[in-house]
Amino acid sequence: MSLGFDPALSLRTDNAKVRGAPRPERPVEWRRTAALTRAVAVPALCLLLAVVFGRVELVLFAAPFALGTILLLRDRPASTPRGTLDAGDQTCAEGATASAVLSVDNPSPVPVTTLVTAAADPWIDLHTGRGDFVEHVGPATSRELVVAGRARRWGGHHLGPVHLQSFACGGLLETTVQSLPGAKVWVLPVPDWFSSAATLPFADGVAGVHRSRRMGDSGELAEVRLYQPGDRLRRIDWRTSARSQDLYVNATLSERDTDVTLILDLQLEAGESGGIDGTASVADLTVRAAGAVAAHYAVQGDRVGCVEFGARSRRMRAGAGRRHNLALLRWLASVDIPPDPLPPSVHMLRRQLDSQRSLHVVFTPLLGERSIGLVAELARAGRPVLCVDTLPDHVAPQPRTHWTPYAERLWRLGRENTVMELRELGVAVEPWADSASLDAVLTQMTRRRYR
Amino acid sequence: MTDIERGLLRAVREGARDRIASGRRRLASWIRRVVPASVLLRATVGLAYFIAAELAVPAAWGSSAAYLIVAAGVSLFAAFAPAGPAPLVASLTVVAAWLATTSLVADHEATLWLAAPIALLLYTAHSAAAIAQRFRTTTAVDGEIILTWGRHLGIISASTVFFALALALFTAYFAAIPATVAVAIGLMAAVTVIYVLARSLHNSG
Repeated sequence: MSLGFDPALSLRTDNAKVRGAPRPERPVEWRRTAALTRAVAVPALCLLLAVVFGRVELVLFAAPFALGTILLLRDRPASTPRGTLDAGDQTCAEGATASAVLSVDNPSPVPVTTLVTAAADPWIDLHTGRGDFVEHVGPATSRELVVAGRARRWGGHHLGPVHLQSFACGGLLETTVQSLPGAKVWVLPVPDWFSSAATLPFADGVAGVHRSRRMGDSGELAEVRLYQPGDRLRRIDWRTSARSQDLYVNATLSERDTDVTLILDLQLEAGESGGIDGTASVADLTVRAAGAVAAHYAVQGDRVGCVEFGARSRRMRAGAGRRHNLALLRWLASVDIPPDPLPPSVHMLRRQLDSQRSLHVVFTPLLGERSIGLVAELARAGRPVLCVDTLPDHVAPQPRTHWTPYAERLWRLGRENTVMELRELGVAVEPWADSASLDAVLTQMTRRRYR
Repeated sequence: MTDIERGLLRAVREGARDRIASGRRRLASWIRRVVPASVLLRATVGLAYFIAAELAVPAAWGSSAAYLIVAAGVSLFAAFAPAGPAPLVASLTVVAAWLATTSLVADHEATLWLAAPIALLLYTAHSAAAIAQRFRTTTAVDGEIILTWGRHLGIISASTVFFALALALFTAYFAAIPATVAVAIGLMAAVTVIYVLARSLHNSG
C-alpha cells in the first residue's frame, strides 16, 4: 500500500481551513421549476387523450393550464435580482433588536417574488416575518428589507448567513439560491443598577466627588484652626472666634476623583446562561456587575479601567465620562471564556495594573487557587482590594451519587473558610447582590484607610 | 443497584427528559411562528385537489373508503410537498379517475358543466402549489403576492367559463364533422398547443 492511500493521512486535521481549492460560488441564474414542467405536461397529456378518446371535456381540462402558462410566460425576466447585506458595525443592547439591512435589486422589467431565509446565533431570536419571509419586488426597482431578531445575551453574535431566492412568472421560474455571508452584531450588556454614596479611598486626582486627605475648598469640614495670613475671610468661624477672643477659621478637605481598576476573573465559567430573561452564569454576573460599577464611577467622573485575568489578558485604559462608559460596555461585550484556557499569571497582571493608589475591584467566583492567590497577592502588596463574589446562588454540582450533597456542603464550608481568610488579610469580600450592596464594605475600607 | 448503574439510569432518564423538553420547545416555537397565509396556501392546494378528485367520480365511488383514502392521500401529499412531483401525481390521478368513471360507469356522464369546475380546481391547486413550493409554514407572505395570484386566477376562471360556454355552444356542430377530419383537426390543435408550450419551456431554461 502506497502512502497516498494511507487512511491515517486522510484523517481530518484540527485546522478549520478546508483542504483543497475553494469551490467557486455558483452563479445566480434563472431555472425552471417543477410547476413549469407540470404546467406543460398536464395540458399536453389532456390534449393527446382528448384526440385519442374523442373527449371534448379533456380539452377543457387543458385550457386553463395552457392559457395560464402562456399568460405567465409572456413576460420573462432577463437578468437575475441581486441582494447585498449591509455588514456595517451594528450594535444594540441586550433585549433590544439586532438587525441588518438587505437590499434586493431587481433590474428586469418584470415583478419578482423574493424569498429571504436568514439564520442567526442561538442568542438571537429572529422575529416572525423578519427571518423567513417573502416579499414582492416591483419591476426595475430596488427594495430594502430588514432581517431582525431579539438579542437575548451580550456578546458578538452572527446574524446570517442570509439565503435569497427569487421567483417569477407565478412560480414557474426560480433563481438559484444566493447566499450572503451575514454580519456580526455586537450586543452590549445591560448592567445591573448600581449606586453608591460611599466615598472611595486614595481620592487624589484633580476634582471629583470623593473626600481626599488634602486640604482644599469644599463642604467637608476637616478642623477649626487659628487664622493665618492668606485665609479667606468667609472661612472665619465667628462663633468660635467670639468665644476665644482669637480668630479661628474652618479648614475643609478637598474633593477629588480617584482611579478604579476593575479586574475580571475569566478563568472558569459555571452555571448555564439563560440570557437576559433567564438565569445568569458566572460570566453574565461578572460582565453585568462590572458594567454596573464602571457605569456608576465613570459617569461620576472617576477614572475607570478594566483588566482581564483570563486566557486573553486584555486591558482597557482608564478613563472617565459617558463615552468611556460606552467603550467599556463594548469592551465587556467581547469577554470570552474559552473552554480550555491557558492559565493566567498573577505577576503579569500586577505589571498591567497602573497605580498602587487606586481601588481594585476584583470580580471573581473564587473557584480556583489562582483567583484566591491573585486577591491575596494584591492585598499583601498594600493595594485596597474589594472582592465581588460572582458565583450565582443557583450554581451547584450535578447530582451524580448520593454523596454529592455532602461533597457540595464540604466544598461550600471550605469556600467560606477561604473567604474568612481573605477578610483577615484585609480584603473586603462581598457577594454581588443589588444596587447598594457594596456601600458598607466601601465605607469600611475608607474608614480603615483614614484611621 | 450500584452507583455506576444508578448513574447510567439517571443519564438515560435525563436524556429522555431533555429530548421531550426539546420537542415541546420546538413545537411551541413552531406554533408561535406559524404564518396563516402560508398554511392557507397549502390548505388550498390540498382542498382543491381533494374536491376535484371527489367531483371526478360518481357519489358512490367518492364515498367509498378506498377512494377516499387515495384522494386524501394524494391531496395531502401535494399539500405537504408542493415543490416535488406530488401535484403532478394528484392532477393525473384526477384526470385518470375522470376518464375511467366516465367510460365505465353508466350513470356518470361526461358533461362540460361538471368538467369546468374540475378544470378550475385543478388549475387553482396547480397555481397555489407553484406559489407555495418554496415557502415554509413559518414564511411570512407579502399580501401583494396573494393579490397577484388571485387576479391571475380570476382571469383564468373567467376565460375557462367562456371557453366552456363556447364548447357547449359548438358541441352540436362537432357531431356533424366526419371522424377523420375531427381527429386531424384535434391532432393539429394539440400539436400546436404542445409546440407553443414546449417553446416557452425551452426558452425559459
